[in-house]
Amino acid sequence: MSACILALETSTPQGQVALWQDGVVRYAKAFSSQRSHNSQLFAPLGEALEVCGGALDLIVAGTGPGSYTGVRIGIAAAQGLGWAKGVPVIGLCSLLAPEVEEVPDRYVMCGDARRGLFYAVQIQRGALTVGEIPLMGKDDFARFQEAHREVPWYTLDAVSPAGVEGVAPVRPSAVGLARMAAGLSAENVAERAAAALEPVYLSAPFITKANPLRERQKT
Amino acid sequence: MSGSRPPCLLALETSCDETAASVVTTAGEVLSSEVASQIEIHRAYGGVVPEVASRNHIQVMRLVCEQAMQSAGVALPDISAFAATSGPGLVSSLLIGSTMAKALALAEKKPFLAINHLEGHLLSPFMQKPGEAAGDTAAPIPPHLALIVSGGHTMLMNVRGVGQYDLVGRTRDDAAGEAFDKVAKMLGLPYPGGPEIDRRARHGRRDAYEFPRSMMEAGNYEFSFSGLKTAVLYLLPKIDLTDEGTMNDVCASFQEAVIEVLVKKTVNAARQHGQRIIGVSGGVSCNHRLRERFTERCAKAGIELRLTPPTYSTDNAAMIAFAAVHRHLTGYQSPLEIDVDPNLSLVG
Repeated sequence: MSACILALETSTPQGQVALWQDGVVRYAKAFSSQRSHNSQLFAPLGEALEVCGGALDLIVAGTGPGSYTGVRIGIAAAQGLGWAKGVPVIGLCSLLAPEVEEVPDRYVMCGDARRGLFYAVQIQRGALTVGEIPLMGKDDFARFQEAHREVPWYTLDAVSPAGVEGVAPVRPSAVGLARMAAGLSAENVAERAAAALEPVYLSAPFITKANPLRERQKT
Repeated sequence: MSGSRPPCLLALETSCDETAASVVTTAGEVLSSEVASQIEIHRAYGGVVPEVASRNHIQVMRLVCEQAMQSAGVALPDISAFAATSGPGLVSSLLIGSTMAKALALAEKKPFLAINHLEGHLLSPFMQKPGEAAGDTAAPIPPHLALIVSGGHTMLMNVRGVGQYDLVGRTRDDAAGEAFDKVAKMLGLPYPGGPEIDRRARHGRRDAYEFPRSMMEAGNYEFSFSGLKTAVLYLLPKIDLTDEGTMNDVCASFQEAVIEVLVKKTVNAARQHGQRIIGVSGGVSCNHRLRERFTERCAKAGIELRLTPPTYSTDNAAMIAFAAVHRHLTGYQSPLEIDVDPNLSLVG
C-alpha cells in the first residue's frame, strides 16, 4: 500500500521515527537513550505528525526482538496515536529492517538472547525463513554460522554476540519498517492490524525462585 | 455526550499489576472506572512478577481505555486532558500507561498530566460517591491529616491543600499491607493474604495472643511492622494452625495489633497538627476492622472521618483521574518529555 505511513522503532537504545509517503521519506529522526525512549520519543513523533498533517494512513511499530520495555513503549505510543487518529496499527519484526545501504536479498540476523542462549535466523526476500526465531547454545550458534557463511550477518546488538567474527552491528531502521509496510497488500495490513500487537518474546518470563536456604532459615 | 456535561479527563493507571482507565469530569464525577486485574495470573507466583505484569498491560491497555470511554459515553474529542500514573511503581508497568496517555495527548493536542500514584490515594477519600450531586468544578480538598495504608506504603501526611503535602511519618520497614500479606503467607493462607486475614479475624478473638505494638511513644509517627511479623513467626511452632479457631485467633490478634497502631498514631497526628478531618486511603483501608476502629475513635475525638469508598481503595484509575482533575484546575500540566519514576516521592 502507498499513502502516508508513520513508523516507530524502539527495540534498541538507538530509536528512530520515520514518515514515509508515496515512496519518499518525508521525515526521519534517530535518537538514543540508555534507559527508556519514553522521554525522547515524543518530540520526533510530534514533528512527524506536523509533517504529515492529517494525512496519516498507517502506523507501524518495530516489535524487536530487543528490549522488551523499549518495544512496549513503541507499541503503546503507536496504539495511542492509532486510536486517536483512527488509523490501523501493525507490528513488524525489527530484524526485517536493518539500517544498511541496501538490504540484501538474503542475510542472517543474530543476537544475544541472554542466559547463555543466542538467536540466529535467515531472512530471505523480506521474510523470516522460519516461523519462530530459534534459540541455541554457543556451540549450535557457531555451527549455524558455519552453515550460513555465504550470506551477510548482522546483529541489532551493540557488539557481535558471543564475540564471533563476521557479524556487523547495525541499527534497526524505522525507515526500513515504513518501506516494508508500504509493500504490503491492503489485505495483509488488515490481517496484521487485527492481530495482537506485542513484542517478539524470545523466551518466557524469567521468574526467580526463593533461595531454599533462606526459606529454611526463616522457618 | 451531553452538552451540559463538564469537560472530562481520561486517566490511565499501570503502576503495578492492574491495568486501569477512568473518565472523570472536571466536577469530580466518575463517569467510568475500568480495571483489568491480573491477580489470578500472579497468584501462581505468590506475588507480582514485573515482567508478567508488563506483558499483560500491553495486551489489554488499549482495550481497557476504549471500554472506559464507552462506559462513560464519551469520545476522544470530548477529553480535555490525559493523565497517567508516573510513579512510584514498577518501571516496566508504569511506562505502558504513561506512554499511551502521552501519545493520546500528542495526537489530540491536549495537555498531559503526570500524576503521582500516592497523590491518587491521598485525595481519594474526597471522591464523590456514585450518584452524588456534582457542581461545575470539583469541590476543593480541605486541609486534613491523611493516612495512606496499602501493600506498598504506610504514611501519614499533613495535607494543606492540593500539592501541599508534608510528611508526618512513614514505615521504617514493611508497609502494613505487606505485613498482612507476609503473615498470611506464614500462616499458609492464599494470596492476596490481607483480605483473607480480615475475613478470618471476624471469627477470632482479638486478645487471644499478645502481639507487640511498635514505636508507640508520644510524638512518634513512624511505623514498624517487622517486630510484629517476627512475633507471629515465633508463635507458629507453639500452636496448631490446623485448628480453625486458633487460626482465626491469630488473624484477629495480629490484625488488631496493626490497626491499633495505625488508628492511634493517625488520631494523635491529627490532633498535633490541628486537623479536624482525617482521610484514610489505600488497599488496607478496605479492612473492616480498620474502618470500624477509625469510625469509633474519630467519633470520640470529634474528628470528621473520610474513608475512601472500597471500590477506589485498591489500585484504580478513577483516583488518578480525580487527582488529575484537581491538578488540572490549578493549571498544572506535564511536558511529554517527562519520564516515569519508580521511586517518585510525594513530598519535595
